[in-house]
Formats: sequence, structure tokens, C-alpha cells
Amino acid sequence: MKKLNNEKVYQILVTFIIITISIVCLFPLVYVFMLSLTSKSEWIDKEGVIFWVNNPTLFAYKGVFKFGGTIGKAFVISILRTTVGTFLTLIITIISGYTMSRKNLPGRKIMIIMIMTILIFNGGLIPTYLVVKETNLLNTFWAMIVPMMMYGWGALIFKQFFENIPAEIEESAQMDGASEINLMMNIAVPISAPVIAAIGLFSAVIHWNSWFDAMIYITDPRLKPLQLVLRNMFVDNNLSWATGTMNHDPSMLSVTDESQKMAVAIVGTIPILMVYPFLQKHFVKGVYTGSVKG
Amino acid sequence: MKKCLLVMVLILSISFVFASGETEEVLTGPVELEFMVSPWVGQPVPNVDNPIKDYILDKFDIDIKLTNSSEFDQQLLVRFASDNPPNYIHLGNKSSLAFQLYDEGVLLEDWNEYKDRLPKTMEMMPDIAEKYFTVDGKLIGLALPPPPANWSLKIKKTWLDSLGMEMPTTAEELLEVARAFTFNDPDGNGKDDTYAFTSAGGGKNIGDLIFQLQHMWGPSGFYIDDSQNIQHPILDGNHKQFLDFVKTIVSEGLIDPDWYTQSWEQHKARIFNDKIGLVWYPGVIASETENATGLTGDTIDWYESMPMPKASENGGKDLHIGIYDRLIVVSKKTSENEREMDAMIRFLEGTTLGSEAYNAIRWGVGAFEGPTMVDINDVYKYSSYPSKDTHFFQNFKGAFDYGKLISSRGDHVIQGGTQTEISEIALKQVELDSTTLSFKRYSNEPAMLSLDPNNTSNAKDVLDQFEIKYILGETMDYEAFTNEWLASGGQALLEEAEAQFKKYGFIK
Repeated sequence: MKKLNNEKVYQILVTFIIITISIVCLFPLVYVFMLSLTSKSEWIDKEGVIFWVNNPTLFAYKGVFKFGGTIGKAFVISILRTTVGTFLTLIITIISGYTMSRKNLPGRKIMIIMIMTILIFNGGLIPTYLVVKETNLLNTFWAMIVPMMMYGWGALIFKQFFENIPAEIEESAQMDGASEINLMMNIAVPISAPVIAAIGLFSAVIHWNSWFDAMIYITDPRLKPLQLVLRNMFVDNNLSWATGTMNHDPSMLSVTDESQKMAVAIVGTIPILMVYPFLQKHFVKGVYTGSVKG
Repeated sequence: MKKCLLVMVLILSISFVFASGETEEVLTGPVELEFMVSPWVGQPVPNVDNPIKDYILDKFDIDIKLTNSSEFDQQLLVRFASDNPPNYIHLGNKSSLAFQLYDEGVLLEDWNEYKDRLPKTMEMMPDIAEKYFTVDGKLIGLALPPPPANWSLKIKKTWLDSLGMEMPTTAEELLEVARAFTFNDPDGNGKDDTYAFTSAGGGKNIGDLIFQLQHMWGPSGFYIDDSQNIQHPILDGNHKQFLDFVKTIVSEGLIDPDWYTQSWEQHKARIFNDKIGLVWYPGVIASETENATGLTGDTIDWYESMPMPKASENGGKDLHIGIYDRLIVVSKKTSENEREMDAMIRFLEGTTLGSEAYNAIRWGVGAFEGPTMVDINDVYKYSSYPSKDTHFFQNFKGAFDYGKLISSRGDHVIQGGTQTEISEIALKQVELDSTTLSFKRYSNEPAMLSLDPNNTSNAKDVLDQFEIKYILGETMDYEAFTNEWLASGGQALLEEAEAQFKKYGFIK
């Protein structure tokens, strides 16, 4: 009986702790969402403390999509960047990983050290900018793609995975006359689909969330990705300065700057949030893939 | 797999459409110039069907490329370090960045050489700013006069009237009014829900109380006293008297209880909710309150601008104004290209404050159909537009950033939106700001100081920590604080300020 009571207390305690932690984690998200739906009058009535919105308004979202063309174009750039960037990153990463997994490759160790080095150090902002400039990539779509094509950590994961492919499979293919390229394309790549999915997903998330490289390399407004546009809206958005000292247009003042910013945060988060649940298992795989040898 | 590859090849082909390479310099046709600014809005603006870009092209023969970066400093330094600088750089009030770039030898070296070609621009530049931006006899940038001083105390006139009180002129009178505002139900709603003061400390410091109250005793930073010695309120006793006053208003409950923790936006909510009697704000408070309360017209007469009450012989003035507004620098590369420099001068001289091009680029007046501008009085102007839908700036708010390149608050333009008639709110704002303009202010010589950021930051940390402890009664040892402040950078700042004042000839 006593044991049962202890178990009950334990379960109640654990449930309580989990619920508390969940509330602590979820509250900021709920607050951001609620604030994005809050009108200026409700903000003032509640003196800025918002737990629930009595009269929700989508005006802040209207504000975000008002210059729909801009957001739409930025969205297309982000989609293109993510798909093209991920595809090319996978190609380069798979080739690098496969090459490093060949134990008889001359200079293999040097190659691995070089890859390891770029995991720890990078060229720095200005040297990288100079390389992008000298290769005429500045202010082009490829400035967001080419510098990120070599994904060192991904290449090492692939190397590890390819090294664990049983030698018998490769030997039998070689006996059938398969070249190294055939081995990679027809043996190694098809059986590494889970790793490709995991690395691809990591790369896609990195591309989707990146804004800094675009900010540094891109000045053409037509090439700015969604995250950069949304970030600028979030950070700058000093319309009261821009529009002058006063504005009588009530529609411009239906929501506070804070609500406008929260709407931007929601718009930037939702696409990747929608993809996440479907691909979460690959993330988990990605974490331990290659960590176990043999 | 093959299908996947096919799709990817298709996507790659589409992405080539978005790719564009660097182009060779063109020696005929419009001059391509890149203008860089830390934006107000930062949203992309179309390159085609852009009336502001077209206006600049027609008027100045410049194909303008606007680069607006929210990480302005970093991007600018990368651009210069990579020998790929923009042509025209709007540095705002970042004078230290200007000096840093000048020291690195990447800016146009001396604007004095162009003075005769920029008569209107040079006429607008205040002498004190010219002195400030002259290094070894060379003028490194172009600045506009400081923005008009429109921040001051605003007191709830309606509350004063209902209580039958006069505007306070001394610290004692201010305390009496504050007690009445807090405890005598000035709004007549039968509830004890009003406060005299508020602030927005954001949990970091005492917020704008310093502007509201410390100036009753004297300036809030380094200054030169009557004996030509350098002084600071922590050393002359003014700061302690100010803290004692704040301690009184906090202990008596005369200030909004969230004053130390709330953000600026949160404190605005309380102000617009008719709960606060005294605020530190520009005249725009009239329209902000009206807009926040549904444009009923009921709040127009709430406020009146109030001169700083006097608590000491040298006190009772408002914060000093700055020495300049909007600093413009040009890259050395541009100065070495005659064609680009000619275009730059055409632009600078053609967009001076009040010019036709200024109004077109800043407010859209004349650049496209709709926006108009009329005089309210000799100083203030009123700009409006009949429809928001046809207004380029309203459809592409990022276009306001073109205006930032040349803007000055000294244009005294009040933007009325789609309300084409000059409204009562606009007139109230003009009244509040005009009154504020007439208030006495401390000398603006301290605005020329450019002090070591590390010492400034360290000394401020010590100050912020002490102030709240003192106000809450956790410490009373002002002398120990003074010593700690001096040791943590205050003494070094004092010496640095003295040296700079001497350099500018303010003290011997």
C-alpha cells in the first residue's frame, strides 16, 4: 500500500514538473501569438500585459502581407535558396565524404585534416567577403549558395557511413566491373538515404534560417530572402520616425509596433514549424548517425 | 531518383534567372551611385516603377542604388575593408565611426575643397559642427543643424485645472502638485488610480527620470562651471539632491509602481490610459494620445508643455540640444572619380532642406500624384495625401528610407496622412512644440565630447547600480559611491573631457 502511495506521489510530482516546464516553454510562444493579435486599444486597456486577447485582430498580419509582392518574392527566393542550396550541398558533401572514405586515396589524411580545420576555424568575414567579391558572386543568388556548399560536418558523417558499408558488397560490384563512380552512385548513395535525409534537412534548415550572408553579400532587393526581409521588418520598423511626427491615419495605428513585430516573428516561424514534425525523426537520426563504428 | 534529379535541374535553371553578375563601369548615361543608410523601415522597394528613383534620375542624372542595412556598422566596415565601399554614407549621429574611417584614410579627405561648389550645403552646417568635424584643418563630413528641441515635460493641464493648481516652478511646488495628482483624484473617477510620475527603466536603470527631474538642479553630464572648471553632477552635489527627490516620490508612492521595470511601450500604455500627470515627451504626444484613444478629440487639451522647475541657482533648464544632425561622408574612391563626384555634388546641393527635391524625396511632394504641403505658420508645414492606396510610400514603406538620406527634423513638417485639412491635433502639436522651443536649455558644448566608450560604460554600470539601491534605501553611502565611480572610469572621463574642452577652446 505504502509502495503504491509513493508511486502515486512520484507520478503526480513528475506530471507537475513536466506541466510546469511545458508552460514555461510554451508561454513565450503563446504570448508572441496573442500579442500579434492584439489591437492597440486592448494593449492600452490591459497596459501591455497580455495573456488572452478578447477582440483579436489580424491587422498586424495584414501589415506584414500588405506589400504582398515583396514578401512573396522573398518567399520564392528562400524556397529556391533552400532547395538549390541543399541539393548542391548534398552533392559536394556526398562526393567529399565518399572520397575520404577511400582508404587507399593518396593525401586522404591531409584532406580529413583540412575538413576538420574548417569545422573549427573559418576564414573570417572580410576574407570571405573578398573571395565572394573576387569571384564575381557579389549581389548574385549564388553568393548565398556557393560559400555554403561544402558542409564539413556532413562530409565527415558521410565518410563515417560509407566506411561502414561491408567491403563484400563493394568487392562484388567491382568484380562485375563497377568503377568508383558506379560504386558511389549505385551502391553507396542508394543505401545512405537516411543519412542524406538527415544531412539534407540540417542543410535545409540552415539555408532557410540564414539572413546574415544575404545581408552582407546582397544589395539587390529582388534577391533578398524571406528571413532577411522579416528581420529588417522586425529590427527597423521605425515607421513613426519615417512618416513624420504625426499621422492621423487610424489604420496605420490600429496595432502597436510590438504587435507588428510579433506578427513578423510568427510569419517567419510558421513555414519551418510546419515541416518540423514530419521530419523530426531524421533530425534524431542525424545526431547519432556515424557515431557508432562497426 | 531520375525524377528528383530532373526537378533539381529545373530548379537550378530557374535560379539562374535570379542571378546577375557585376557590371563594368559605364562612362555614359546616368551615374550609378550607391547610397548606404541605416534604415528607418528596411523593407525592399521595387527598382522599376519607383517614382523616387525615377525622380532622382531625372533631376540629378543619378541611377541611385539604396543599400539599407540593419547591421549598418558591421556591413559598412566590411565594405570598406574589402575595398568595395558605397559612394554616399549616411552616418546619422555616428561621429565616432566617421573619425575611425577617416583615420583609416578611406573617406573623402577634405570637404573644404568643395566649399565653393556647395554654398547652400555649407551655409546650413552649424559652425560648432564644422569645428567638431574638422581634423587637422580638414573637414571630414557634412552635417545639418541639430534637430529642434521638442522634448520637454508635459503636464496634464486638465488635472491642474480640476484641482485648481498652478504649473509648478520649483521642486517644492512640483512635489505639492505630484501629491495632489496622486491622492486628490484629479480625473474625478472616484478611484485612487492616478500617479504624478512614470518612467521606463526596462529593469536596467531609472529611465527618463533623469531628463524629467535632474535638470531642476543642473546639467546631467560633464559641464563647464562659472569658474571655467570642469564639473559633473556626481561631484557638485546635484545628483545627490536629485536622487533624494526621487527617493521621496518613490517612498510616498507618487510614481507609477512599475516605473523601474516597464518598457517604453508599456509605459506609453499607462500614459494613454489617463493615469499619469507628468511625462517627458515631444509634442507628438497630442496625436499619439488621440490615435490611441480612437480619435475622439477628447484628449487634445490634456497636456501643456512645462518649463523645467528650478531647484538651484544654475538649475531649471532643459537638456541641451545636439551640435548636428545627419552626418554625411563620401568614400575616397568616389572623390577620386570626377564624374561620380560631380553627381554627388549635384545631389547634395540640390536636396538641401526646404528645396523642391527635398520635399519630393522626403515627402513625395512633386515626385508622384497626391502628396501636398501647406504652411501652418512661418515655421511648421503640413503634409497630407488624399488616398493611401495611390501613395507610393504607403504601398512600399521602405521608400521612406530614400527620405532618410536627406532628412532633417528641422524641416518642421507634420505629416497628417489622409486628413487633408489641418486638424486641431496638428495645431496642438505645433503649440506644444513651439512652447518647448522657447524653453531655456543648458549649453550644448558637452555634446562635442567624444569619450572613451569603455570608461563610459564602466562608470555608467556603477551609477545605474547605485541609483536604484539608493532610491530603495539599500545604501546611503554617497561618498563611497563617488569614489567607486571615479575609480571605475569617472576620473579618466573627467580628465578626457577636460582635455577635449581645452582642445575646442572652451576652457583655458
